[in-house]
Amino acid sequence: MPSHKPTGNPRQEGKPQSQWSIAMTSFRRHRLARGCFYVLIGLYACVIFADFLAPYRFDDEDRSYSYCPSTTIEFFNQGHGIWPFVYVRTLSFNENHQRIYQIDTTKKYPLRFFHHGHLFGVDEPGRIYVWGADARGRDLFSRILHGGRISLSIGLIGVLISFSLGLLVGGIAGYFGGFIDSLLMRVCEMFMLVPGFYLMLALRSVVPENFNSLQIYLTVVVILSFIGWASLARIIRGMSLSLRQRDFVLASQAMGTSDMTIIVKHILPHTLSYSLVAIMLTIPSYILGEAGLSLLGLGIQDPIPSWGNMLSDAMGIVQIQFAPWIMIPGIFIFVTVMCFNIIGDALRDAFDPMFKES
Amino acid sequence: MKNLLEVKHLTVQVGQKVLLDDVSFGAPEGKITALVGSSGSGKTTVANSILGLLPAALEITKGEILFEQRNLLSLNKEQMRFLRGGHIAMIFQEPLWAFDPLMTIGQQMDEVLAAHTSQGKSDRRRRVLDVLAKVQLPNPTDMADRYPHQLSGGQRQRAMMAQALVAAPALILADEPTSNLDVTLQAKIMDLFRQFKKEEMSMLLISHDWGMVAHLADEVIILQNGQVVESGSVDLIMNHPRHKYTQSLMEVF
Repeated sequence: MPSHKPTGNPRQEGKPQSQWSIAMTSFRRHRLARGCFYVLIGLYACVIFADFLAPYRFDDEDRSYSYCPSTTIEFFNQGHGIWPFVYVRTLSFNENHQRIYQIDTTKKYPLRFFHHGHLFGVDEPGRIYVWGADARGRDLFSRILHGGRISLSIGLIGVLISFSLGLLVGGIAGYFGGFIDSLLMRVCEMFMLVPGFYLMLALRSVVPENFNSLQIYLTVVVILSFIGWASLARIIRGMSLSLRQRDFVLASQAMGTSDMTIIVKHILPHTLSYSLVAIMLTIPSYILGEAGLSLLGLGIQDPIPSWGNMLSDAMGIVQIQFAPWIMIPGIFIFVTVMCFNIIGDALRDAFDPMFKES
Repeated sequence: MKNLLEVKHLTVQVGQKVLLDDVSFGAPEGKITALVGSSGSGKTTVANSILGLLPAALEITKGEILFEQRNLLSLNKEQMRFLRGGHIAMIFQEPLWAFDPLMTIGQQMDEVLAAHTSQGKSDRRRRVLDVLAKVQLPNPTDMADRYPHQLSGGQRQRAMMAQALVAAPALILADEPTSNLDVTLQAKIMDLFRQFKKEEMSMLLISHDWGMVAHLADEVIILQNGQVVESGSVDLIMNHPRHKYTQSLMEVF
């Protein structure tokens, strides 16, 4: 269609745009993905400052508040607006042995900010439950924030390990080809042969039972990474195989650059746009993997929270019926996984030259 | 005159097909030796054999390549790697493809230096800028920080030459260094080569451009279908081409 507007070419004279900056411009235009990006930033920030933002420690329990519903913050006392306060609830059982919480209006507990190093809280023996309590009377909100540290970091660390491994193995296999290639690829296939979840269970079963929580955390990360790297290595190997034929790789060889330098500096950087997308789309599977393991009681152990093991409380229909808020960690998993997927999709579109400016 | 490089009875085969058949020639020190032939005559195969970078399917079945009295074919992989770039460097035909598009010119030159010298980072940087100035690139500091696509064709070819020179190699292989440039740029690059000639740089020039050969080369070797058909000083060959193939090559020119 002919246009009368002066066709200003943004790439005249000035700085030539790199593939990276073109992709980033196109990514920024993707509003949904940008929103998801901010959501993730927000989640990670909350999780990092969990100690401060959460009113309680993750293991701060009070059994007399088992499955206590969320506390409502009151702003009015007999029609007069006053400083926000909460009432505590008292637990009793009805004739069917069901929990009944009654609000005890005899004593008010004013909401206090910057309370003992937390953003907010109330004086003992009052307790504030933002999103209700779990079976042991621990504040679900606090546990979600603390649990996010595990759930959100497991994806990142897992991806870091599996991608270092995948990039390196794939790069080496593709670059050298021949025997090394066949050997490494057969090893990859051995990992890919077994369905992921069964491999996860098998690997978990060889780990001793008496590990402490940090060791279990590391074990889970390593197990998840072990599953993820093989398929990536295969793809990187294919790209490396074609990149090694490129003239600049031959030129580097002719200049006496060592093979490892060529792989790391001239081959792997060219797979970056693919890897970045793959990283974004892989992180969710790690978060879900941890959730799956923890749900079965094989991952992070109580009292250390993770979104996965918190959800394992929600396995019984009775609990869901009486305390539906214990499924909130599931919402967090869902949102996080969605965000990573949407960002990954947007990045893929941004890096795909065929998908420009529709 | 001592020969810096001597190729003796080099035979390269792919399966039963003979690509280079008993090729022998010498490249004297401080001179420019031209390897001339049409496409498919095996010029590039000679260069790749010298660098030890023949594709896996190609096999050297006979002969030896002596460089500074050492047989290159008997060196192991690591020794060969050390030789490439440090002692024998290559100027490629198309510098746009020979540079990694994701790295600056300076970084890529630095990489060559880092592979062959034990100099510190700042020394290497100084050397890179020196060499960029030597190939008459304007504003070397700026050029070093540019990416290959930000240079013009002529500048890229100069940068390519700078990269070959940066580790001060004894021998330079130049594979059709001007064939992708327009005529004015060719003339300018040729001036640069003439300066190298004055400095008595040893070079093996692979070309089918008689103009360039006539201006630059001291010795000429004519290659046809993997065989040396004629060799001698440039004057001799230019004035008295004996072989029919040589005459036909010169007619085209």
